[in-house]
Amino acid sequence: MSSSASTSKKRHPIGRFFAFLGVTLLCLVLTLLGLIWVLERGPSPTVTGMFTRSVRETSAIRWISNIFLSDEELENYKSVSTENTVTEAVNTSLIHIAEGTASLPPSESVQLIDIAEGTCKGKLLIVSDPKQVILGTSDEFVRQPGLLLTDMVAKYDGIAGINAGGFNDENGSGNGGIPQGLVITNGEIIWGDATTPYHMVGLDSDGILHVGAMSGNTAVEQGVQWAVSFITHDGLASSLIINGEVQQQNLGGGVNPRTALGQRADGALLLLVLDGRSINTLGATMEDVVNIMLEYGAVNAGNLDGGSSSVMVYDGEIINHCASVTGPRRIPTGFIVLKEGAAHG
Amino acid sequence: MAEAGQRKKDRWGLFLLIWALVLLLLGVGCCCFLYRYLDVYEKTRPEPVVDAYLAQNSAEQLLKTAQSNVQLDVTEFEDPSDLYAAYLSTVDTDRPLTYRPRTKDSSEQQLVYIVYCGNKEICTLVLSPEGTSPGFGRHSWTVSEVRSAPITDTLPSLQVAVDALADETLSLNGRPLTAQYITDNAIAIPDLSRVEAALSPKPSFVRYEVGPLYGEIRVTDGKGNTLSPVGDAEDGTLRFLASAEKQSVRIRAPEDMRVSVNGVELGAEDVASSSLGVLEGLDVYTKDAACRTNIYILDGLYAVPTVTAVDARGQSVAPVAGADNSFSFFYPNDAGTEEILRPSAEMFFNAYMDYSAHAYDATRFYNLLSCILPGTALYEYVSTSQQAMVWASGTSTEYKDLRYDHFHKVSDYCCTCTVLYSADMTATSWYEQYSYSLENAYELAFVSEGGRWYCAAMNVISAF
Repeated sequence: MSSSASTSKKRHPIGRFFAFLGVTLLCLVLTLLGLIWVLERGPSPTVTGMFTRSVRETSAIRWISNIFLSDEELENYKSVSTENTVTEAVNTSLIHIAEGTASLPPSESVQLIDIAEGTCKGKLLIVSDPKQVILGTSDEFVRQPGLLLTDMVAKYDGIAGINAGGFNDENGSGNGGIPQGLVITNGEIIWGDATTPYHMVGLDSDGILHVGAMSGNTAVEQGVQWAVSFITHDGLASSLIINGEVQQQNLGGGVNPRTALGQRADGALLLLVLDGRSINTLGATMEDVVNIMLEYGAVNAGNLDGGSSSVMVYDGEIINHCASVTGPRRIPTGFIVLKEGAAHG
Repeated sequence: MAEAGQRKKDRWGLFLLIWALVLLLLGVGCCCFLYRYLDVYEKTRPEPVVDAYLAQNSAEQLLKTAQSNVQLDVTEFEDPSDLYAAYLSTVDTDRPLTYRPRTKDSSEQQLVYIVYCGNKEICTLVLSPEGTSPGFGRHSWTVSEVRSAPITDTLPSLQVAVDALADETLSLNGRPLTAQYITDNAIAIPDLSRVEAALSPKPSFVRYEVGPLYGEIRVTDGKGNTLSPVGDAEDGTLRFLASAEKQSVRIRAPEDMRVSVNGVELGAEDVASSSLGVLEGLDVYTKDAACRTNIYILDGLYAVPTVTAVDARGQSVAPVAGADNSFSFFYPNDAGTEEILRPSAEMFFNAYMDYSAHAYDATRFYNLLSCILPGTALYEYVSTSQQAMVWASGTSTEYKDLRYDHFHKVSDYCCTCTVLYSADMTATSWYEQYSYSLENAYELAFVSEGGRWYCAAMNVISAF
């Protein structure tokens, strides 16, 4: 009896600790569920839409959107634009690439700007000479994992870079080895079907940015040298601004880290990475991306892979707050800013 | 012991229950707070206000509202209402209306949204708080102002640069281009002639610069001619060159004089023509001593030059400056020759004036002929003038400021001189009425025949 009581006394503190922990966790989970309920079924349809779209755009936690909402109800908050495979073509006459931008001093040819617009925070890189930007790729698709952007920039001896196209990332566990959609480098289709329409973001041999739905063959025929394609998990196509006109059908989406590529009328490329999923900033909507692009004079702009893939490298270092909890992700493609005088074409 | 243990267990259980209740209460509180906040958030969102406003107003209505408070910062050369009309013509009002927030102009007390029609910015909506705050520092909003879009940002603009001589009269879009728009006083002229390139300082253009201009650009010169731009716009600047009326200079000088223009001595390559001038056909009297007269013509000058000459002895000679930038050089006056020739020169020219200033009169006619060497072109000319002088009966001429100069001995039998004068001409006949004054000069050649000096040739130099 006394030996049993002694054993019970010894076990008591551990049992109490787990009981305390269990009750606390249970209450926190219930609170979290309560908060999710308020977000999904609360009084603000706007917030409900924002919340559901935000989580649906992520690979790892998109199931959260289904906790209190049925698939039918979620349809109301989903904006599918990818069915639209015909978009206005980029009018290249609107872009007048200034002569001599290639010979600008480095401080003027590449300009780094801190973005702090409303709830959005991030980095904007303005590259005066668009021919200074190419699409970098990992060493070998499928067989090898993707590259960290820092390594990819170093591979091309570049000075900066941003992530580009999407990749297979089931449940957020992809290794960046298999691109999604279309990849064109040096004017050749190296990934994707030549005749299938993709929502493309690419640069032609004159450095003019093309965005919109087109097949690989069409893109190559139009002189596109470097391109990727991208759609969000929620089905939003990549084109955000074409010929100065905002592509309303591709807006929507929640708040998440974003990466986008735009071009001003003078040809300067706008490489934008917005942070998210952090105390610092929850992220940006597509509208936020468009607003920033318009504010900096974009005539054409396309959305690229976002979320934990959103990353910008400058001077050999990651300069934004990468949203990935496990550190920067491996990616198959990235837009690389070459050193002055190393322009493509 | 067992009771004490049971009490402890009960207390622990109670603590755990209370802890759970506290956590749950906190959780419920958080959820309620969030619920309440989202409720206020949804009711105070500005976007539905903008949506409703755009649903009630078409693009045309918005443009009309915005036009009433349009403020265009344009130069004096453009009419804001014309620019607004030009801007309106670029808006396709059939395109859908969309809007974007302008965060840099927004604050807690004011939200600013840019409204687009298609890709065209057509106005700015300003939202102000309305009513009392429902909580959380948020407000309901109402559209308080519709501002015009920055039209000048949406229209293509150009700078205008006009290069012209400083005294050139220019207009831009019908308004005078004044000196306040001169940005550079020393624009080099690329096609300067040799005699102007040597000047110090060289002639130069001034540059007028105006901008930005958003509409039609029309540059006119002093004669009202519209200037064409020099090529297409470069770097946002459309350039014009006022094709200033260039000057031509005609210089007449004996070939043994060294003539300089703006300090640059003219050479054989500058001679346009050469002749014996007034001594043509008088070889018998000049005895091969006649000096040829060179004509120099210089075109494409931006300013009337300074023309000087020195004779064979190195003596400076002043020109007789005529109209139309003509300069005539003669040998300096020789007092000895003047003493010999002046009476004959005066007699001839008085007879000429007497004859030409009146209707035909036989006495005057023969008096003049008696002063002219028969067989010369001059004699022939005067002989055939009778009919003209009959018809000129209604005219009268008054000679004034008569001056004889440049007496020069060519040979013992040939001398030259000039006569300069002004004359008031009047015609009062039934078929011809006029009245004007002129200044004129003649170069006269006299030859000695039988001990008397006759006028053998008479060349008008130029009006001066």
